[in-house]
Parts: sequence; C-alpha cells; structure tokens
Amino acid sequence: MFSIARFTILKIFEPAFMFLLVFGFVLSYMTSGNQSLDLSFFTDITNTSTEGNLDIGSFILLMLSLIIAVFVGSTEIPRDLNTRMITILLCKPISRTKYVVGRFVGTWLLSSMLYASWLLALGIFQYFSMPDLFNVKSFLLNFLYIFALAPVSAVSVTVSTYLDDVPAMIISFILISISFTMGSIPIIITVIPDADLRRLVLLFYYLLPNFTYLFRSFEAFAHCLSFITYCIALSMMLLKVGITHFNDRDLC
Amino acid sequence: MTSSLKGKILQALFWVCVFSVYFSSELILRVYYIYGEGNSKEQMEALANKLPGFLKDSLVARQRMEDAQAALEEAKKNKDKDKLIEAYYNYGNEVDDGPRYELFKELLETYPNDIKCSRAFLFVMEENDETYNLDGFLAYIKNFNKKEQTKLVTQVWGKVKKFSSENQIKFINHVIKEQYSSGEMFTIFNDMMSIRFKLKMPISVDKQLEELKAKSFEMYKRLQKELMKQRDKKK
Repeated sequence: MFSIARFTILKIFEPAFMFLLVFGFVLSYMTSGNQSLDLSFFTDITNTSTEGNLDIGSFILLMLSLIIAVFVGSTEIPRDLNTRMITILLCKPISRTKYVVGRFVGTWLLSSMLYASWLLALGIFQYFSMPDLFNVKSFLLNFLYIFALAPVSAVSVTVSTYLDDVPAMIISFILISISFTMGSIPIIITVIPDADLRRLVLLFYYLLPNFTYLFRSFEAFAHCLSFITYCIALSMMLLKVGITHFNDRDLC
Repeated sequence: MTSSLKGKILQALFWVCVFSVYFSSELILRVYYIYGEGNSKEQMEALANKLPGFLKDSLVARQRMEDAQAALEEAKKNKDKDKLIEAYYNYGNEVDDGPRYELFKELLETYPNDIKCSRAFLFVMEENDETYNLDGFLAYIKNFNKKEQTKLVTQVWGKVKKFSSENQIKFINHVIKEQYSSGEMFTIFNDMMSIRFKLKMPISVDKQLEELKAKSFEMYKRLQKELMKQRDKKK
C-alpha cells in the first residue's frame, strides 16, 4: 500500500510539480501581507462572525493544493488502467483495496506536503515582513487544513474508480464546488418545519462533504478535534464507495 | 466462530464506529457553524436538542449545574441575603446529596436563624448529627412564630418517623406540649396515634392526640371550604 503511495508522492520530483512548488513559494511571498480574509460570500447567511483563520495567502495556497489533489487523485487510477500498469501492480501481492487506499494516501500526502511547505514559506515571509503582527497560533492552526485535503483526495480517487481521467476530474470539480455551497443547508434544516422534509434534506447533505466548515476559526479544542475526525471519517466513507466499486469492476 | 465471520463482524463494527464518529463530529461542526464559537447557552441547547435522550439529559444537567454554581459565586460577591439563599437552593438542587449536604450546612452557618433556610435544616437534619439533630431542630424552631413552627413540625415528621423510638416519643410529646395543629397536620396525628401503642406511650397521649386531630380536622374542613369558594369565584 505504501509503495503505491510512494509512486504518487515521488511525482513531486517531476518538473511540473517542481514548477508548482516554486510557483507556490512565489505566491506565498506575494501574499504575505497578513491580511485577514473576508469569507462572507460563503457564510453570510449565518449571524456569526465569518472570519476564519485563513488569510488571503493561506486561502490561495489551500485552493491550489486542493486543485492539485483533484488533479492527481482523478488521473492516477485511470492512467494506470489505460497504460495497463494496473496489471503489473496487481501482480504483486497487493489487493485492489490496498491499491486504491495507496493512491488515496499518496494523493493526500503529496498535496499536504505541497501545502505544508508553502504555508511554512508563507509564515517565514509573514514573520520577516511584519514580525509584530505575526500570530503563531493562527499560523499553526492553518496546518489543520491538511486534513481538509483528505476528503478532496478521497472524492477524486473515488470518482476516478468509475470514470476516465478527464470526466473524473470534471465530476470531482463539480462535486467539490457543490460542497462549497453546502453551508446553507444547516441553516435551511433549522427552519424547515416539516420533519420528513428535514430528514430528506439532511440525507442529501450527508451525501456530500461540507467544505464551508473550513471557513471557521478553530478556537475550541472540541472544534479542532471534530474537524479532524470529520475529515478522516468522511474520507474513509467516500473511499469505501470507490473501493467497493473497484473490487467489482472489470479492469481489462 | 469461523475466522471469516469474525472478520465480517469486526469490519461491520469498524464501519459502525466510522459512521458514529462522522455523524457526531458533523453535528458538532454544524452547531459551531450555526451558532458560532464559545460555550453560549444557545449553542449548548442546540447541541443538546439533537443528542439522544440519555446524553441530552446529562448535558443539560451539567449546563444547569454550571449556571447555578456561577450564580452562587455571583450572589456571594453581592451579599444580597435573599438572592444568596435562592442561589444556594438552586445550586443545591443541581448537585448530589453529598455536596448538597455540605452546601446547606454552609448556608445554615451563614444564616442560622432565618426561616428561609429552614428547608436546608430539614435536609441536613439527621438523628446522629452533632448539630442538626432532633434537639437542634426543636431549639431551632423556637426562633420562629407558632404558625411557622407548625409548618416546620409538619414538614419534619416524614424524617422523624424513621428515627429511634426515643426521639419519636420526644417529638410527639413536644407536639402535644406546644399544641400544634393545622389542616395539614390532620394525617400526621393519624400516624402518631397508630404508632403510639408500639412506642409504649400512655393511653392519655392517645386522648390528647385525638383532641389535636379533631382540631386539625376542623381546620382542614375550613381550608377545603375556602378552596372551594375560591374555585367557585374563578368559575
């Protein structure tokens, strides 16, 4: 499983990813102005403060890592299938389940490594440009978003077990875009008077991850812990769908 | 049990755990999302309303206890007697018998002769307690007027009934001596008369109790008539 993950992680040494890494560092430098980000366009329906930990810099870097996660996650399995690489990989004592999990772990770690290194660079730039305004707690909390990359990777890998690379990428992007608008559903649920309708909306809501949860500040420990467990449990559930399908499908 | 069946059961349990973690963490995130950060009352109530009954009750109880404790601390600072007594009772209602006992003792030490603290006295009173025993109670009620004394005597009977014969005799003799009677005491005299023989008290006690019972019964009837009149007026 980890050797499969290693295949994906080693992509970081490919020229395209090296370019992305450098591009991310440049972005970190350009956005190190330490401005807090108004994310009310996602969450303005709530009556609470919508400003999260993310500043413009870390938000852009997170989005970039997210795109990379979708890109890598949705292309790896279809490419292995198209190039017949899968037959070689599965000749080894590796089950299909371990193969899919390996691809997921690889995608997640690759995007996390990129995000973490960019974030570290951003922190250094921010510290040196405005040491008085540098908030260590907020900076460290931004690393929590690594867990947010897990469900994104899981969505991409799961979709790629059903579709070819380009359709998988498109569908993954659509699903993740819808997930960013899920923030309105918790509010809608509280105001729907009919219990059955509420359950129906909730069922739809549970089928997709809610990425609006990203845009909250993590002040309480319970909140941080819930965020981590939510991301991990959701990833496992999404991945299970992909694994079940991949175990049943014809690979030829 | 075969190993494949065991594996399937373990797998099913694993997924049950994953789903539970997912739903509970999602719920916490949703509540944080809707109601914001911090332990606001609204947030806790929203969370509690969505939890299963047994979890909801304990969460609500804990929240109520914390609120009552905070109110007591606040009242201690303000030194308003009525509010402080009320805060002691409110907090006492939320805690277990052990801490409640200590709390009410603290209240009685602060206000030893206040009628509002009588509920605390009745709670802490025990047969073998050094201060809050039957003798302590009989001395305590002397601080109040006859009406209040009668009320307290009525309230304490449930406890005294479980005391030793010696203390029961002492209590009954005190009731007879002070000639307490009220509408509410009517049933208590019935009780006293029924245990008089067991307590080996003289037959004259029975007669005295009968007189007090009759007096109480008259009061009881008057009370009922007044209640009926009030009900009719409302109609």
